[in-house]
Amino acid sequence: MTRRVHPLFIVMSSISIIRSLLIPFAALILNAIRKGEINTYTWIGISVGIVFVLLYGIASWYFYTFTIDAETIRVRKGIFQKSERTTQRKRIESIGIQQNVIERLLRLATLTVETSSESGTPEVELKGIRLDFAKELKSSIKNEGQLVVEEQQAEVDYTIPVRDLALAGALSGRVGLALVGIGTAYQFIDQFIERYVDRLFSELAHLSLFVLTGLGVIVLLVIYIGSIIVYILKYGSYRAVLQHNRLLIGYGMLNRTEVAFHADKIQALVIQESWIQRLIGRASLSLHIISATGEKERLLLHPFIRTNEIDPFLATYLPRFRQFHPQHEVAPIGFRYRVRWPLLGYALLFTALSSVVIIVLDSSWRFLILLLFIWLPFYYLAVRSGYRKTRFGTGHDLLMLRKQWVQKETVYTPRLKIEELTWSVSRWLEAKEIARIEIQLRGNTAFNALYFERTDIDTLQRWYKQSFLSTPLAGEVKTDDE
Amino acid sequence: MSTVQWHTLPERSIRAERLGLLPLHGLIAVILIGTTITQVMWLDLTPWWMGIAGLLWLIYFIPRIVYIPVLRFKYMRYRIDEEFLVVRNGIFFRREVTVPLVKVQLIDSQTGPILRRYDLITLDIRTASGFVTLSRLDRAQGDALRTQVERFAKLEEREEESL
Repeated sequence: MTRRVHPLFIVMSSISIIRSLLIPFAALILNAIRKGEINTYTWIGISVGIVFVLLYGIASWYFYTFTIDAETIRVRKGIFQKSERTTQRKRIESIGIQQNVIERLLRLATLTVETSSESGTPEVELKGIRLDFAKELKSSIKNEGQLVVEEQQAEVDYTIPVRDLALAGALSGRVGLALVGIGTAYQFIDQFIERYVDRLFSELAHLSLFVLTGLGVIVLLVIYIGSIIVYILKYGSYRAVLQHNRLLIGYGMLNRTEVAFHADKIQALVIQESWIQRLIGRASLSLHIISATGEKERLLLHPFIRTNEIDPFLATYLPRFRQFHPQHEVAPIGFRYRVRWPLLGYALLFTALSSVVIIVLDSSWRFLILLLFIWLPFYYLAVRSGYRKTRFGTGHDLLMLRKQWVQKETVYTPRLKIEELTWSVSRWLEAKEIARIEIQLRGNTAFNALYFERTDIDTLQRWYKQSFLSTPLAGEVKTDDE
Repeated sequence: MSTVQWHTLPERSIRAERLGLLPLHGLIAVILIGTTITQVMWLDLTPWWMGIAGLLWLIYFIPRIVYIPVLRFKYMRYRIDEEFLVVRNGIFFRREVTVPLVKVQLIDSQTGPILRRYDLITLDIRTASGFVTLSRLDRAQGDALRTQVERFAKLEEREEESL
């Protein structure tokens, strides 16, 4: 039976168009108001524009139809340029429901159906359908499709309390981003509120330094709290659901994102611990996956997990991954090549730069260039600590690579997911029997670390060079024509 | 450790690489000489800068054509042991890449007039994460390698992802 999406799609589509045109139109109208040029024709123009957008929305809704029968899902859309997409139900790999802010307000949703095609976008995208209907459709498509077996398995689901999200946001270091956002917004609105800002600045200039500092602190505090709120809005309503081997991760209080994938799409698990997180025993987990559409994605699995809860969490959700201690440390001899030589290089570079500046410039400020040298001890401490804490280890099926500068990052990747294993060393370090290792995963994801003893690298190669075949090779491989 | 022997490039790959460099560097030489003559004869300049450009080019060109092909011949080697292709290369940086043959997605082969003249072939072995290039292999060796990799394409990988 052919159906249309919900009539509220007209409102949703109109709001989307208006929203995309809002900034330029708001700028034009504000400018007109400032110059006192608003008149009847302006309002007529705006009304005609809104009517046109509504008509476009109605036409889009009228021509947007879908048909679901026993074997296929067919979606037709387009006013002038028509498109029709048919998907075989047996090829469906994952079904997702997404809701943006407008859809949440209107209780609508977008249903996406992904197959194993390499198109790079969801095979089917049904926008503007009732949320309840989307859920019904999702379960009806699943129940008749190949996922029926998975559906019968018990569901395990996990949510993150708002308190944890607030803590994660507070320690995420996203204040910088919030500052950039406010700076950009200020640049934009500055032209409209210039005179108010000027007046404000001239009034502020008369205040004492103490009051100004207080104001600065308050502004920074507001930005900081804002960054926490943004974090909660982005990752709020977090829910991870495991059905058999299929994991569904959804988050977002305004724009909701839901990603469903099979656990064997996971290329790597990354455990990150910033220095603050390490102090309070927390970490964040993320996954490198290849989505159903063949795209590489890095997905947040848990923003703020207790480190002592990682093992049980992994045992439940990703039984293939487990933590273990790395067996191999970096080569002590590599310290001088990884830390001391670069330090010497920077010292020489800064000396040359400082000499040039001091000789060429005439101002007494020229000696400020010497401040560059303050960076060197910090660099030394960070790189020394980072180098000494670099490790790798191999488990039964997992490779673990750990690096730690300011942030500690541990990567676990299944051996069978490693597409290439490389070691490399410059010719003049070859005799030192040390090298850098690099692993390549699908989608150009790479992890590397340096320097390890060649004997350790040989051990790694032996571990990697176990069979990748489902049945071990027995004698000569036969081909069809043999 | 594996007892499978390493394959090296044929010695004629040195000549092929040198010959392959000539068109581009010949063009650069012509441009350098042409612009110098133009500046001296028609613009009445004393183009000392062209001397510097020429010197820089020579500093690059002489090692590139004399030493690099020899070093590449010396250092580049590969072997196929059990189900893995191992390629060792690099002139200033020694690099060894291990690729499971079952991960190979496709093999690109290229031959140009110079490579054909010396009966050589260049293979790009592509996986889902990138590619390994084997330049100027002996054609028979290249064909054997390709056949061996193609055999693995018909085998089932243990890690078949559920698509």
